[in-house]
Amino acid sequence: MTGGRGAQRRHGAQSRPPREDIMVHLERILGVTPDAVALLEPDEATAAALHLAECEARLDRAHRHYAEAQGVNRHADLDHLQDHLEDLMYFNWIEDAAKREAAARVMRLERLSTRYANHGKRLAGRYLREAQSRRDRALEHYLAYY
Amino acid sequence: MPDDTEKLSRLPDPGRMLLADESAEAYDALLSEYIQDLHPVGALERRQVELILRCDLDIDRQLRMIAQHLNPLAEEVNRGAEAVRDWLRRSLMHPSALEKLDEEEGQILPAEPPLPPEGDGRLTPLIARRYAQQRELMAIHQREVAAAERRRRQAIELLFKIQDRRARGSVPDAEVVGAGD
Repeated sequence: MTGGRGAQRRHGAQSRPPREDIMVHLERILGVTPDAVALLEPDEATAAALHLAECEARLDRAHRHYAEAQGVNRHADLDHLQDHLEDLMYFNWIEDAAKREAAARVMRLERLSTRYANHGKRLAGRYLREAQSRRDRALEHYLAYY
Repeated sequence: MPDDTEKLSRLPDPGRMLLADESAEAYDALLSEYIQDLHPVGALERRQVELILRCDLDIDRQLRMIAQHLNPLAEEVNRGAEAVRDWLRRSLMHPSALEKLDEEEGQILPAEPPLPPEGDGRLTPLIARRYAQQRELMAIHQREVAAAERRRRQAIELLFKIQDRRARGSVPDAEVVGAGD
């Protein structure tokens, strides 16, 4: 129902945040707007700040995803399928009694929907913990140049 | 160390981290109180304070959700079963009754969510039953509370570490007295 392996790293909560978000954090960390040349060949302190800024942006994204996942108690794709089935049943487009019974049973798959939503919650929690851990390590590294 | 500014860190838009029942104004008010209490200096320390606040919000949010899920008056919505029940009911109804039902359903407003009752010991068995029905969800929320508390402890520890480094940085270098004697 969701993307394949690694889809979260490419498109979702774990994907690389936009450059603007990273730059906002970098400016706050350094206290000045870094020039493009300094970012092309950064010294150790700037490289550490850049890594920290990226980790901060990733943490924000993971936290946002985490907050969004808290309010989701059903799986949207399954709901969509159930809507289609409901239409088919409602307008008597399923003639065969056995197929209609099968559709009715699919409509009762509430546990599956809840299970997927819970899985999403667990994943969001894991992404947040990983992002926080990486960010804390990046901060400790940056503190050596602080 | 970058120059400090007096404004709140608020990085990035906190509204993106909040749910519908939480407000950005309350977040800002809490953040300013935390800043008054913890005296952060510089962007790194302010960010650390903001992360501590977020952990507190997470803990509060998870506990709120647990309370809502255990609310014995809340109805369990089974969307698919309701659709099937409605479909069966409609298939057995007379066309005129069906027409009347459609008119009535258009006028029905959605019910308000029930408020959790307070301090009634007789509701304990119902709460226990709801807990048993939603054990998986409860386990997730309780684990998230524990994780947020752990993150909070680590964030406070890191804040103190940064503040300690800053304090030590302001002490002038020691002079070795009598090294040449």
